Amino acid sequence: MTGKRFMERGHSRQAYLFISPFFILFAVFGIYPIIYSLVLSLYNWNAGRPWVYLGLGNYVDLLFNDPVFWTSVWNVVYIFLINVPAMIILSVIIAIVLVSPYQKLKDFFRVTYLLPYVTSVLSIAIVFYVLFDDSSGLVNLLIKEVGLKPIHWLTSKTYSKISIDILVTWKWTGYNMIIALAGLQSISTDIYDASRIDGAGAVRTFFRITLPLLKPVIGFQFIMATIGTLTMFTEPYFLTDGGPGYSSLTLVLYLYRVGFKFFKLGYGAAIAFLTFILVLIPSIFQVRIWAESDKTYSAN
Amino acid sequence: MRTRLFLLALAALLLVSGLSTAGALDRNTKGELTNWTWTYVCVDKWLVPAFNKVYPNIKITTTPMAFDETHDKIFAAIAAGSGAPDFATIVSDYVQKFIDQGGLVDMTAYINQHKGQFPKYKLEMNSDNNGHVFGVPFNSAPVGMWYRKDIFDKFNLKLPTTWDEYLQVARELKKNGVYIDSISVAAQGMDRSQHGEVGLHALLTQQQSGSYFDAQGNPSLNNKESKRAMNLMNTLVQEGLAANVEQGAPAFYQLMNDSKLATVVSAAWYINVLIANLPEGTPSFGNWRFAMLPAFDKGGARSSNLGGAELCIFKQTPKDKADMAMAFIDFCCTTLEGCRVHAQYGEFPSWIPSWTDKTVVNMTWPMTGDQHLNAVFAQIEPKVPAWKQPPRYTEILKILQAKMNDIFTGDKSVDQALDEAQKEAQH
Repeated sequence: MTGKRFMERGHSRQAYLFISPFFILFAVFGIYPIIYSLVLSLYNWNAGRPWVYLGLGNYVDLLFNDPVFWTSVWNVVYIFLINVPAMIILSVIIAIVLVSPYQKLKDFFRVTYLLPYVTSVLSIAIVFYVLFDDSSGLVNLLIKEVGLKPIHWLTSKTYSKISIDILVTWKWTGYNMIIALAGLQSISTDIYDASRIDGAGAVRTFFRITLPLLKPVIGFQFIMATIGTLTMFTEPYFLTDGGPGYSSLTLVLYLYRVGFKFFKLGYGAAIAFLTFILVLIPSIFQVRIWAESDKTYSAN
Repeated sequence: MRTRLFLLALAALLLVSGLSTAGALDRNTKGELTNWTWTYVCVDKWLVPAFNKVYPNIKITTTPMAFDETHDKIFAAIAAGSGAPDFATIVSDYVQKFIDQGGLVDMTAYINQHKGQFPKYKLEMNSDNNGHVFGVPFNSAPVGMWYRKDIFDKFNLKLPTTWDEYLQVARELKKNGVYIDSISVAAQGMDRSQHGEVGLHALLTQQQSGSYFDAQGNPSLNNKESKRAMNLMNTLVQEGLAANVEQGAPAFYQLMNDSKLATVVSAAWYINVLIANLPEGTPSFGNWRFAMLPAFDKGGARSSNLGGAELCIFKQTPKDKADMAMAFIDFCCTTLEGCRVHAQYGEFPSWIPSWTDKTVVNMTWPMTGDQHLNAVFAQIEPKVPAWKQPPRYTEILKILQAKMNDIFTGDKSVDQALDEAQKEAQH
């Protein structure tokens, strides 16, 4: 072995040593639990007795015999369909307003919009729980004040998911706004200058320049929001506990209930893997669109 | 003055009778114990100091936890095989689940030393199919009707002895803008509030000696008793006799403070909920009383149960610590000293000999005037019917809870919803 190669190997050893803590921790707290839960999902688990091997039994049961599972899938899809577009559109609008040279007190507004994101979701859920109270909640008091009928925000099957949507949109719009803001600031002002010289108006500039160049950022927002929404737990847990009935039961809340309340960890693990597949589908779809739009841009 | 006298008498008693509580363990035993409970104040501030007068060298560290958190963490510790405290308070409804997971120490030998000293239904709740007992009954939760004496007096109403009379009283109260009780149409108050609607249904079913399970242990949610209980609740909802408010929500206490809620059907421990939420100076303070449950049929059963707690030791607990934990459990559950402290805190001890103890019987609370609550609890407790709670009990409650909303909103009839619940439970 030449001295140079030895040195190189020594360097790479050091490099591996430096990056190893992450991989060791990831292996222990990431990969091992994933493999363990995959195995668990194939069994009827009990701490006090030997596990019973079911093969794909838990999955078959979930997909073909468990209406509550499908209700929870529909619930997260419903929340997703309202929440994700609302959050992304709002965040882009706010970011555009905040990036405008005419906007005053920019820092104040940025901090204000970001505050819900840095506030504990538990505190927010408690505040919303009080705000949405049927009889003494501020929201219904205001609704009554303008002469409308009060809404059963948390106690009706129709509104329970909408209440969660409102909370989630309020909490996460600030975070998405920061991402959109970063995206907007990365668009070169030269492009805007050139378009202005060519006679493009504000609307045209937005649809022909801002929006296309913001596509990768919106794609990122979409993926993050998709994962967040489809795996939602804390907000419905504190706000509605999945009710009334199963009207706001999300997949992860159902998983928690099955695993930690009913002590059916194998069945719970199967829910986790089906949730993973559900999250994977829109993410792959989005990444493909993203890659294709990238190709189009490179070709142009 | 009265409290001070009681404490002085208690201290004197503890000094004199210290040896009687020492059990098999040396009074000078040294060690440290950990325990988890959702009734932190009761254990840490009342029972542990009293215990330490007998065993001064055993230090007990109590971790305060929320009700749900206590049981979730116990489950996680049993599943992981480590991490459990030395002993814990477990709600009676959940003991079977933990027995099924194999995490609790068999206490049959200890229970046999105290034969006939605990209510039968409590021991059944703590036993496996072979009759082995895995928890010592800590406190009981005999159910009755907490009612506002001032409201009943104001409208010249008699205490109902049957549920039909209760409905008549409720209709009378409604004319005067007062609700008899509260039942949330959303029926969500299972984990968050004081057992909520599903708890009410369970206690009404138990009152009739009904069950959510048949003799073979299979779910049975659409049986006669379950339907009768649900019909009663549905009448209260549909006629607007019960307020559509979740128990424990701010609006619920507002109704109490506005004197618009006349009764709460709940257990003995509810005295502490009242004390915690209705401080001195609020309109209902001092006006609450406790009466036996109305019967379904004239002269029928008037006893039921809602909750209650057991003290359990874990298989993970080392032998020396398990012995010390047993000394604490023995002090709390089978000595007059422990039971008196426990009762004064506002829990009804499960140990039958304490029910005739004059100190326990004569206890009063400013919230309930001069009523001797423990004397009423002691009348109810021996007649509480057995109640099956197999490991799937929590799951069954959740299914029932989801269907209640369909009934109360009028989407489904009682029969239809309970048939559906039964079908879902059989899955």
